[in-house]
Amino acid sequence: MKPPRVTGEPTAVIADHVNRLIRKFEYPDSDTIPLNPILGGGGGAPTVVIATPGSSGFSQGRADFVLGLDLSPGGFQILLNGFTGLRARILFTEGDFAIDTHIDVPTGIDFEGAGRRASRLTWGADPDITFAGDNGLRNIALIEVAT
Amino acid sequence: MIIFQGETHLSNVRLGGPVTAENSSTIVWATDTFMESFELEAGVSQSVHFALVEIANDLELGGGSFFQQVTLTNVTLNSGNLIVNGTFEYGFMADAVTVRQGSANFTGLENFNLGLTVIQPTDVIFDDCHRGKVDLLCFESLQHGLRIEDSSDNRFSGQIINAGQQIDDTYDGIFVLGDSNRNRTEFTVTYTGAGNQMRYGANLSAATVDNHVEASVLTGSGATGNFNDAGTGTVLTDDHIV
Repeated sequence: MKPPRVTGEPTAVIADHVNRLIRKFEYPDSDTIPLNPILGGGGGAPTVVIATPGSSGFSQGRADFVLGLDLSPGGFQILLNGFTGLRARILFTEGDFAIDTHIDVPTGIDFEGAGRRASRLTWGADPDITFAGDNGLRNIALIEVAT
Repeated sequence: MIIFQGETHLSNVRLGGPVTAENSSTIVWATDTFMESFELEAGVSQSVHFALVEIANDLELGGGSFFQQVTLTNVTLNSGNLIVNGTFEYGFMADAVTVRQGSANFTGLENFNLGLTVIQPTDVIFDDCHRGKVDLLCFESLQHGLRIEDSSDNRFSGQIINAGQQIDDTYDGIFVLGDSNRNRTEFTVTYTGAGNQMRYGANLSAATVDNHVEASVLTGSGATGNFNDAGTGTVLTDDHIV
């Protein structure tokens, strides 16, 4: 059963959530460690599901975080940093994800969306997003918008 | 700005801002992807492999540096410039590349293979390019249909239609100049009567040596003349030139 979604975004809360996901990756047979049920159980890279307030209720209900509600863009960076040194996947539901800050995506982190017209990550002109390497982008849009 | 600093795989992605690959270890694999623009910055050991990629503005590869490999397959530029400037260790290969209303400029290439369609470009320039093979269709270029400068031992072939649209009797279908030697050109150069006319269908400047113009149908192409050869040792193989 999926545990309640993490609320609030203090660094410690996000870090704790990441740690639990990583532990699930390392000990896939444990039933005491939460894993998003959308992804099935056991094995594979740690995956975080992120929705936005514009996403469907279904998507929000099953996401680990809702960007803009319980995760700020700064919190998103903390989340990414939590997977440094690991292979991990950030799965974006449908919707527009406004990330108006500089983001560094560590090595080995993949972004995957619900389609390049369905999942849109937007930035202002000045902040940028940097992919450190060994990154995958699939079925997603990264759009620079006028601010 | 979207910045790639290492190996990156893109599949069914839309990148709606300028994209830069800036680190020396960058390798970008992109399939079925739409980009606003893409620039591979100067560096070493960088590779780009695009397949079924559409780019709204400029695609710029180079800065005169040394790169590992670039392959472009089924790549379309809608209003930007294709700028390639560098040395590629394992060659530069581009097939089914289409440029609409930009420039297609290649500098410093060696051992390259290029299949290129340009629609209403500003110009198409090969400068300091050697030992390449180019299959070109150039339609309604504003300036020269194909400008070959300081480039030797290449083989160019294809169609050039209604070049020199910007100013009447000023630009050529094929303009070979500078230290350009031993190139083989096999083109059909035509003027259909639409818009401004080319100066010459093909024009070889005095500095060119031992170039071979083969099977080029130039009849009626140039306002000043169909063919002008000021070079040395030019070989003509066709009876449709004048």
